[in-house]
Amino acid sequence: MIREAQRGDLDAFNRLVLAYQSRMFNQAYRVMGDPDSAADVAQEAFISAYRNLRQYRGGSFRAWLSRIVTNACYDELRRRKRRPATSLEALMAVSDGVRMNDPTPLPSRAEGPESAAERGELTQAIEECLQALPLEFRVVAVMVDVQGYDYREVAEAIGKPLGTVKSRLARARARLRDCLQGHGELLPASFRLENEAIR
Amino acid sequence: MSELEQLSRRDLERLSAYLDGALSAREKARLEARLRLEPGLRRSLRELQSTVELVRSLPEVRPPRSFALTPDVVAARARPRTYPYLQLGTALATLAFIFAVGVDVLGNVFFSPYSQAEMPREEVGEPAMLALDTRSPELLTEVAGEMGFREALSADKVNEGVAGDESIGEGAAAEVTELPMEEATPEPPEQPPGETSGPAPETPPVEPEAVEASEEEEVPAVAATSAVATEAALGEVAPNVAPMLGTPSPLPSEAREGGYPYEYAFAPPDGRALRFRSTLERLPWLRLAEVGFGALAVTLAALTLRARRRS
Repeated sequence: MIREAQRGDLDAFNRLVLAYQSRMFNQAYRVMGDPDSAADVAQEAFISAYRNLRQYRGGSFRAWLSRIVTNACYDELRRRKRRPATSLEALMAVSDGVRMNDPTPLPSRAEGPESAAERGELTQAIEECLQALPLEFRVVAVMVDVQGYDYREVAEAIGKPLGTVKSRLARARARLRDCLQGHGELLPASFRLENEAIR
Repeated sequence: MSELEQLSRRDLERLSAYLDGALSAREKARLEARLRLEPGLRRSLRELQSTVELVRSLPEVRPPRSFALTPDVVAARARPRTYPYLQLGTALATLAFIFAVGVDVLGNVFFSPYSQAEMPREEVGEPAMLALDTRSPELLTEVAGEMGFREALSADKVNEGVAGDESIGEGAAAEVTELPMEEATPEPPEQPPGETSGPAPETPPVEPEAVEASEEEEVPAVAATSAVATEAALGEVAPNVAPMLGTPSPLPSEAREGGYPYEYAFAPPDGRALRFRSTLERLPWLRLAEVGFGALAVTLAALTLRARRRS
């Protein structure tokens, strides 16, 4: 399928898109922090992937796509810095008290309304702590912990050595730990018990 | 205080990699031995593990739409057909610019008077036979080192026969004479720098030993040229040396910029006068090429970037 797409077959490429779009969108969403930006980034990434598909020389295709998505995230964030009005609109949409346009989570096992609400708050807390990470730490933490890439794929996606990936991931996890301790009441019992034992 | 905060960065990385199974067998064995002995390290590992589990619990979200491409989107976002040619043109122009600059720089390095001053004496001719061709407007104005200075100083004495000829530097004909070095040279009278006298007094060639002593002294101009031309030519280049050399003529202005125009005369044994020319003199089109290729590279790069941003 990849070879057909490399020959310019748009239908073959779109089959690849359907296979990987959820993963790529989630990666963009966890890095960017809002669904609209994530959708733009994902679309740009797939356009760029189609244009540069001939440069793919084998190996992990999802790592190759992830690299394009990562670069698209960096580009979008740089563009936001130059034009802060865009990010301000996103901030205003969020600060209305209700997060508009929150993406729908994929259906998981059935749970009660209270659990769902708690779960939602915990998810929000984790997302906030992720967003509080520096960008380079966040990208690595999302790829390894959220999406399950291995170190080598992450190194390929971000274009850095394995040692850098290990270092950034370790520091990201330590910072996440510190941040999550501030939301102690939302955390599961096991997490809180560890904190109490330390104190 | 979290246990993780007390960990060294190395231990933090080891624990983190251990959680992902990314340690080598040896490193894993060492760490596990330490975990058995250090309760603090065990707590740190548990903290990390619970953090990772929390982050992994984030749900996957559904994309808001399909990102499949349509032919319209592909056509609208396609790069212009000229894009690869613009890229190639930019690369070639940049290479040509670098090449032109390299030729310019290396040419001046290898053919400068400094390198020539270190050549064996026989290659620059016998000082006794030194001659200076004053017919050429691009005359020697400075010397690079002692050897060249001596030769040039000898040349001064040769030109004493054309003292008073104000057309020197304007391509006027002048006689070239050769004087043997054996003649003694009297101490030259002092003269303020930058000034040139009228018809210079006759002074025999300076012996090599005398040259060293007189190097810092002002030697009156041997051949008279217009004082204005002399000062204009030499004021910046060699205020101390120029008067000693006599009456060099001003060099072309572009050749004098950047300290390029070093040339000095020497004579091979057959008496012909030779001189070195800068790279720009040998390749007058070089500067034009540098500017042209540089401008072309910048223009093509800008067009390439523009085409890329539009697509």
